Amino acid sequence: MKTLHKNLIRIFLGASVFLGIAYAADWPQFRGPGGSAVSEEQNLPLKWSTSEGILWKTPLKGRGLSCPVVAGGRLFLTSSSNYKESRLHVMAFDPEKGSKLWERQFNATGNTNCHPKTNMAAPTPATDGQRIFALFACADVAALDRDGNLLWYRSLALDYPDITNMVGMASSPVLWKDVLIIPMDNAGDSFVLGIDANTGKNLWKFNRPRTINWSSPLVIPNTSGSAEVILQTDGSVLSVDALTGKENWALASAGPSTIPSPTAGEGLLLAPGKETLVLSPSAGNKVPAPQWKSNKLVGGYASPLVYKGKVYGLSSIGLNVFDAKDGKEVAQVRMKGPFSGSPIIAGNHLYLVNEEGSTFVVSLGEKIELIATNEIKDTIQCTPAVSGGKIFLRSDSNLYCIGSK
Amino acid sequence: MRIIALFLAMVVCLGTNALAWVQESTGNVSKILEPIRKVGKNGLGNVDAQKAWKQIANLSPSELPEVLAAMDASQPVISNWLRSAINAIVEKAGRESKTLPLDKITALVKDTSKPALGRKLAFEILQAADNDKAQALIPSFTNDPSAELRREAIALLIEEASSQKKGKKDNEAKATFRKAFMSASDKDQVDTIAKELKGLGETVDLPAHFGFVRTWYLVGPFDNTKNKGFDLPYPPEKEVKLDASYDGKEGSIKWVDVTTEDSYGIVDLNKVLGKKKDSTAYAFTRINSPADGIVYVRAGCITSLKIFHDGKQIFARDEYHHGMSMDQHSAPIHLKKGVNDILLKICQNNQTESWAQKWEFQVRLTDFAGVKIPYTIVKQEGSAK
Repeated sequence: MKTLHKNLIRIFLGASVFLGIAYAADWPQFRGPGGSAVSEEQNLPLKWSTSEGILWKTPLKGRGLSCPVVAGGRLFLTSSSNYKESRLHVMAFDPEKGSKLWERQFNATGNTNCHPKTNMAAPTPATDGQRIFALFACADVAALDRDGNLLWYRSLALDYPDITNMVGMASSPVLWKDVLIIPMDNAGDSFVLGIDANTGKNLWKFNRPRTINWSSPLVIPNTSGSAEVILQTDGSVLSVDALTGKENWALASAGPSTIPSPTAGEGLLLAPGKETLVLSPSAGNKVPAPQWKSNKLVGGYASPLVYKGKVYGLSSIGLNVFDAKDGKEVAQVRMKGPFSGSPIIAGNHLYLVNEEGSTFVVSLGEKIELIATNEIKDTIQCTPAVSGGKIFLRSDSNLYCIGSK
Repeated sequence: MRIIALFLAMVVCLGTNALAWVQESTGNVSKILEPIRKVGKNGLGNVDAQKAWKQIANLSPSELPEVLAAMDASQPVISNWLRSAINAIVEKAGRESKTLPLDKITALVKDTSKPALGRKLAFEILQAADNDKAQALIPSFTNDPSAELRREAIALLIEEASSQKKGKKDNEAKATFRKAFMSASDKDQVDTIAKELKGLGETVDLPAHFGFVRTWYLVGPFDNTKNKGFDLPYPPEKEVKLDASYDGKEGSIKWVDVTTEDSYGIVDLNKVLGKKKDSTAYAFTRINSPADGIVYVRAGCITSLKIFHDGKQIFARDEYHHGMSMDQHSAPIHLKKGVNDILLKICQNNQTESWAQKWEFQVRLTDFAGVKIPYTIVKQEGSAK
């Protein structure tokens, strides 16, 4: 019986690897595992340049602000190309070699107008290693399996013709179990959809204010077998049940804004913006209790993160660090922006990339200090991904893997 | 009996690949495409289409022309299912070193009666497989119904003309740029060519080239406080009477006519009606079309906009100060031979930022590919000046 039990465990573990079930080292969505921007990876590269430390560099078709996602031994990426950004690309790469495994293309079915700095591949896709869900700024959603087989396709612009954002949408989807959460806050018909990841059909639709919003949802699993979908926009942060789409709680506040995304960690929920709110989630569907707030976490495009008792976020001078308990500022590290991407932490180091392609590496030991500035002189407007001991950077025209064999 | 059992066992073992082979062998591609053709809004038909997609992706490369020909821009979601399956067929053929039916693919590219989307993808497949053969086709796309293929030809002409200009062959360069200008429809290419022609001493009429409507009758301001005017049907939405007076936001208002001289047909409402906030204006024009047909009303507008054709609303977009670009909005209408009325409703909000003061629009009439259609403006007698 014990042998059978052991065998079952082996089968399960084997199947987990084979099926590519997400594990700690994966980077499956915008800002990594659980949207935390923190990876459990250790011993990641600290120094590199255009001439050393780059394991591979692959030229990309089209542009994109979406981040690479890595799971199940594959790296997935989106881009858009052509006149008026009308061509949409979903690609899979071998993260070890950088070779492209497959590419699928689609034509935008929604409006492709946007600010010149962005494009249709602004939202980061979500994956569980078995499936990849790519949302584009024109409100097209493509679901594919890891081998590039199309599972389903939705044109939300045709389903909801009043969707409109002439600046360009950028909020990223999140996958929770078999529910794909699609944010669609815009100047027209605004909502968040819970979509059946297997069929592409709506499970629920939660109506939102008709306001442009680039913030991405955060999913926090709860003890009742469901999860809270945290949504923020200018003037509010709220929670929706991931299974039903029903509102759990809502908090009106002038603090949260429309660009950075909420994050959670160590029992805290952060709603960043003009005045970042740090909340302590309550049991049940109660509104979380405010712990502290700060106007020194105004990161522009960047979202903050929580790690080992501290909150890290950007301000106009660079990195600001706060004690997570009381919001007391404990460190500042000057860095040269501008930053379109957000900081991430892995191996007790914080990584932050500016738009010129310089990655600042900050040691998070006893002393919080900048230990390296790694330049690759390429335009980068997104957040790095970390997996398998490697760092993946996506520029306007290339995909880089920083690491060694 | 054993043979049948063996065959069935093979089908079970090989799964969808074997089924695809079975279907492929019947040559009935059209039947395999059926579930994809039934895909509808809100995810309708996705599950059946998922199975069909795998069958298409496993088709022999020899079936590519038929799948390509099924891509139709009027069915964009269906075309995306097919496009991605075609990507898979081509990739698989590459991995297995299978030959693509390039002659049939070339024939499809050349056949302008076939859907533009499929022909463009066929061209891209040809480019990847035999670039010389693809390049040789490009000059024939100069007046192609496919905007994407035509763009390739215009790019080549621009390159040729630039080379002639560089070689000091100005007359040849003028002729080549002019040829490119006559056929170009994408704004970036038209702008490049127009600049070159002007530099060579030539004149260009951009509004005429693009087909902008330059003559309008305007009336306003009506009230749009709290952006409520967008959904309030003021009298011009019920009936356009160019000699009527209305109770406007600031008193009695009348229609005024204006012909814009802007190169891109932009009508600046701030100049004609005064700089107003929380306001709504209407713009009316009557055109005479020489033919019946589906035509696209393409508009640029930095504020909220509604478009009506012969009294029926055909477009609405309630969005303020998020950028304006030519053709950012597009709506198909059935233009009838003879007189057609086009009415616009353009709202302005109360934002105070310096970048939120514009109140303007531009409209042109084109075919599906973005090429201007022929029409004349019907001047209204007795209208207010």
